[in-house]
Amino acid sequence: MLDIKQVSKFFPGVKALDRVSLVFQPGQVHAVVGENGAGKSTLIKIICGIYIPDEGEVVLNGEKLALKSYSDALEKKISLVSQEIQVIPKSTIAENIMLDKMEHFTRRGAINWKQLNREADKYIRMVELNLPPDTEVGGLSAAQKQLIMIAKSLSSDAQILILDEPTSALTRHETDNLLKLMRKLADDGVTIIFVNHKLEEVLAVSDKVSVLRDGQYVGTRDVEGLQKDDIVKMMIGRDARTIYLGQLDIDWNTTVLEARNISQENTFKNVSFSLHKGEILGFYGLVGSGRTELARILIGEDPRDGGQIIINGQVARIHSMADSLYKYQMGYVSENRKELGLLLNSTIQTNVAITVWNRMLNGIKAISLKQERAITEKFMEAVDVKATGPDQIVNDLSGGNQQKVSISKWLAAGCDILIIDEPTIGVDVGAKEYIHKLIWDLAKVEGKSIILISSDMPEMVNLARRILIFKEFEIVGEIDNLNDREHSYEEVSQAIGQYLA
Amino acid sequence: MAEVNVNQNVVSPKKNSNSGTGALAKLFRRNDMGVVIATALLFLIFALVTDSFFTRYNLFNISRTAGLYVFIAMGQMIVLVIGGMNLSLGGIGGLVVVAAGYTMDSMGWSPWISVPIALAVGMLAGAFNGIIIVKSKINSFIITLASLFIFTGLVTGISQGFPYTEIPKSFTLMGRGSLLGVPYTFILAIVTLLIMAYVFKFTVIGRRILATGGNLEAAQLSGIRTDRIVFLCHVLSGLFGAIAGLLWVSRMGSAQPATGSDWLIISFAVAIIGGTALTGGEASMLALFASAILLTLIKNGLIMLNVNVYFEQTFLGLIILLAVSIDRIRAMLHSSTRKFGRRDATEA
Amino acid sequence: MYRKLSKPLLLLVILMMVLAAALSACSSEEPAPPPESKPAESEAPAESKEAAQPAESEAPAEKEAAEAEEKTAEEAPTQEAAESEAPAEAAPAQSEYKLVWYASAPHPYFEEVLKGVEAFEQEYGIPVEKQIGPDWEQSSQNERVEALAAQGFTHFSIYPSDASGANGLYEELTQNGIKVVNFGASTMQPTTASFVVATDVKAAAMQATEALIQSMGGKGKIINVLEVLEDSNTVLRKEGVEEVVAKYPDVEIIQEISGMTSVEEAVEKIGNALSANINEVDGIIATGFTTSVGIAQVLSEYYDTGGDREIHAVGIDTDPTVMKAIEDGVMDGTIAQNPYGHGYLSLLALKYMADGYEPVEGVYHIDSGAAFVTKDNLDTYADDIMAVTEQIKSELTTKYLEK
Repeated sequence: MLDIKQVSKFFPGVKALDRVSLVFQPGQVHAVVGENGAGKSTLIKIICGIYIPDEGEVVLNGEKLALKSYSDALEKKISLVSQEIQVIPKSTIAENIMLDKMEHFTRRGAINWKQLNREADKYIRMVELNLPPDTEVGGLSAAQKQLIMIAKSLSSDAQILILDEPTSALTRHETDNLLKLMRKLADDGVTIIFVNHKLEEVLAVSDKVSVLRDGQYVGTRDVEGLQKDDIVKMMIGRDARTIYLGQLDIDWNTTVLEARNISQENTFKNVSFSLHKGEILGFYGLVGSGRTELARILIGEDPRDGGQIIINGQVARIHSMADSLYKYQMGYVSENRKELGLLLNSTIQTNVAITVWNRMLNGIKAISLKQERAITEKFMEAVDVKATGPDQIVNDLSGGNQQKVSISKWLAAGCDILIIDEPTIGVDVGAKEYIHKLIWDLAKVEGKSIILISSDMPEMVNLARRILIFKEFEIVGEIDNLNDREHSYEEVSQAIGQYLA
Repeated sequence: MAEVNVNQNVVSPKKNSNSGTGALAKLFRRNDMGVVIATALLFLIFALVTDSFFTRYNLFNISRTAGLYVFIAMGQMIVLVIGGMNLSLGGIGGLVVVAAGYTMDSMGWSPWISVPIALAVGMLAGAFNGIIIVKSKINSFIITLASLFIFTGLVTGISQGFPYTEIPKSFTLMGRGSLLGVPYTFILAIVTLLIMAYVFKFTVIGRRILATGGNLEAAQLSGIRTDRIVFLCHVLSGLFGAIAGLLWVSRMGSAQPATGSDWLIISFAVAIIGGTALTGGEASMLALFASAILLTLIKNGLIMLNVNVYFEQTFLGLIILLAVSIDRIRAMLHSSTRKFGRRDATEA
Repeated sequence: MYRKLSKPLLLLVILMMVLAAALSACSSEEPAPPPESKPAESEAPAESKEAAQPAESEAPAEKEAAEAEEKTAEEAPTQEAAESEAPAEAAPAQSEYKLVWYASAPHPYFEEVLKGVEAFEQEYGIPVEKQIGPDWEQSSQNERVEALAAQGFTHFSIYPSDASGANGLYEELTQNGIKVVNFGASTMQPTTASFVVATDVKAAAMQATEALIQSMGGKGKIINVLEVLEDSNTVLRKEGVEEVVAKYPDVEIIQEISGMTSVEEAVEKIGNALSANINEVDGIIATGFTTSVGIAQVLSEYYDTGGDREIHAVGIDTDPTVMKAIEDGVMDGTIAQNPYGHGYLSLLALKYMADGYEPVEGVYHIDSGAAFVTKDNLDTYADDIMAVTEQIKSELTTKYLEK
């Protein structure tokens, strides 16, 4: 039994955890949920010894823990499988699993590979990975790497297994398998702490769910009989609305962007579609189905072998994002905001104004700092970025606020066409709603034309008024009657499911 | 003084609760103040401890060497800031020196023709690095390592190791002359630093350079033509190297082909102690300036103090360590005041 | 993926082709160096005379540069040519002498030595395989010399890149019956090299110090500028300077600086040392090449900017900057070594050994002599050195070698 007693943790200016108490029982899958910045990560890090609590204590089976580092935690059979998958790509599966135990498999200083592989294979079977132990890890899928990490934890005989957003990079099928495995491990007596945004998954697998909000403990519920809305309510402190946003005023006669027979070696073959003025066009599909890849061709960042891109009736020559932005007012909000969307170590101001520096020059061709600040403040207000000011470093913001900054950049640029890729990944519920409203208003109020790329089905149903379904670099279907009337989630997902089948 | 501090790590300077600290504290909180403080302290110490330090002749020499260091360091800073590096900087310096020497001595051309040619040689060498890095997408470390050999080989090949001695007297004005006791070299360095500070803070191109260094892919996806930026920075690196080389020729009154052989360490030391982030995206002209003086001061001071020649390098290393740890101490002091200040505020 | 790669790859291929083309152009431009050796014969005396007068180079500096250029055209390919043609041309058959002259890296000093080597070639009609390495690393010297030995060369005149490191190379060579003579600098003793033809560094340092103290009137304070302490020769020079100073009770070394490998560093450090002692320094002495240039530079600047203290200075070697400083009265003098002799005499000794001579028991040093150059003998000192060379030449088979 893992007992968290009145634990607090402070960071400069922030109470990350405020007297949180929680009990985790063996043999249970215990979910911890909360919005970004609610304190989930801090709690996990305290349990794993990465952070040392400022107040309170952690008690494991009656023994007070004083962990100084993650290796202390491993000794106590506490193991973490984290969001960022940490495998050594050039090594084999067996090596990755047995990394910290290599010395047990040596004979006169040399590693006994046979024995090592045999031992690793045991755990590989346990997590149902079904691959030879000497496979190199680099080429495996995210799900397989995730399983390797779990196998590694199991090989250390972990009694407490913490899974931090383990499904964020997995496909539906892979997720199902992972959840099954979690259930099995819990039934074997392991304590599983499951941190996740996706409440459907939480409900599907957990025995208990605890909610954190703003660093404080809100409550723990038995999952049985619990509804998703109940959890959301606990997370955001009020009822979540399921919204029908209404109809868009789409000008079906004006095609702002048309892709004709786009082809690329080994991927696309004659893909065509068109985007109309004031429309939100959804690209739905799994990761790797060609949605983002097509977007990158549109903005000129990846080459195409054939086909044409026609913008406002004219054949467009786009060879880079710069062409796309400055010649055709087409913007792209990246799915990977940390790596591709933002200058994390720079200020909000730099990140917002980056697309418009050349538009705020004063008489002597110098950037007007005043204007730069004014523009930043304007958009920070418009999209409701919660920060201490334009000078705050973006890295210090929460995921939702980072995403808002990432979008602001393109709002500031005044793009007519906006490709928005997975706008709410890693964003908490409150911010998600706000971002949805923002995207909607861009189309509805300002008449912008938007391509929305998302694998979040409710998001698609809420926002998109036409959905193209992607599978293996092809558009396999189109749902085009969403602007006529309100459609239920089930209705749409069923239709999509038919195309994907 | 010149300063660029795009990434001010100051949380809410306006609303900060710890009052009574004033402008001085605000200055103290700046990221680039550590090296400035260290330099000022060292200057004070040397001035007090040795009597020949604070003489006109010595100050003249120090400031002139520091001026030269500034250019050498700028050649490195401008590529560090985009997350690259230029190992061939010294090779470029040597090439420029030989170009200047060859045209003025062997060809007998006027400096008015030679100098532009030499500068062009430097920029071309930089462009050579830049174009290969951009087109091949190979790490700048590898490319410039290769070009270092290419350039150094050209230098020894063309000059055969001989210095060019017939440099017109008029050309030595820049390296030897002074205005009101301040060497021209030093003045030129300050002017260039001011220009670069302005470029980084107020011009689109400067901002784009910093953005490219901050996150190349994100910058590219924000509509910045990062290839051009990378290319430009390497050309500028060549230009700064060329200026440093020419200043050296001007000072020596002869063109020594071995010039630049010790630039590699100087350029990295000054640039990095001067607050240029190795990861790119950050540079402070003020700190760079202070750090150029710091390094000159240390070398000068060690001789002033007549330290044991056998252990000289050890002392040099120790003082550099001490100087950079001042910055850590400053940062620690700063963050602890910030932390407590904030805690008080939340408690209150 | 392939698309992304194809462009840079193409670029690389083009780059390599350009490089290859350039290299082949370089080597084909000079089809065969050998013919040069014959017509050069008539030029020989003139050239050797010039070689003996490096000091003069100051006046017709342009000429010197032009000469350097000529060298670029003539000598540069030797290295390449050597690899491709030497085994075919020079080494086998044509001559029973298989002589090599090997210098560490391009340097003005070696150019002077080379003149002595060429004079030897012309005088005796024996071709010498002349190579200049790429850098001062002992390892690259090893590689190249070993390659030459593998080609069948038997007698080597080598400038040791590293005074102790080179001994390892020599041991291997001599075990295979190859004779080695050091020129310019000695390897650490004991060594398997038969001779060293070089300036006696300690004696030269003593001579320089003596001259400096004389010019200071027998008293005063001195800054001693050493090059790099890792070099065993520097240590000998340091001893030399200190021994002479010890003889004069009124002379004192007030500061010693070292660790200078480039003129840039030398100028900075000497400038610093001068500032540190500007109110008491009377003399400054350098016993290395770069440091002497440094002194010339710093003192010229000092007087140019209105410095009025009388500072005596003595250096070593005849770099144009130093010679000009002497001419201008900025420095009192310099020690001129005998690079011509280093080349000429080391090869002559090797030739004799190839003819069957053996080194006289216990003889290792061939002091190539040195002359003190002042403003007064700027034009004539070269003759003095030449005389030393002739003197040694005449004694070579009596004093140093025997059958």
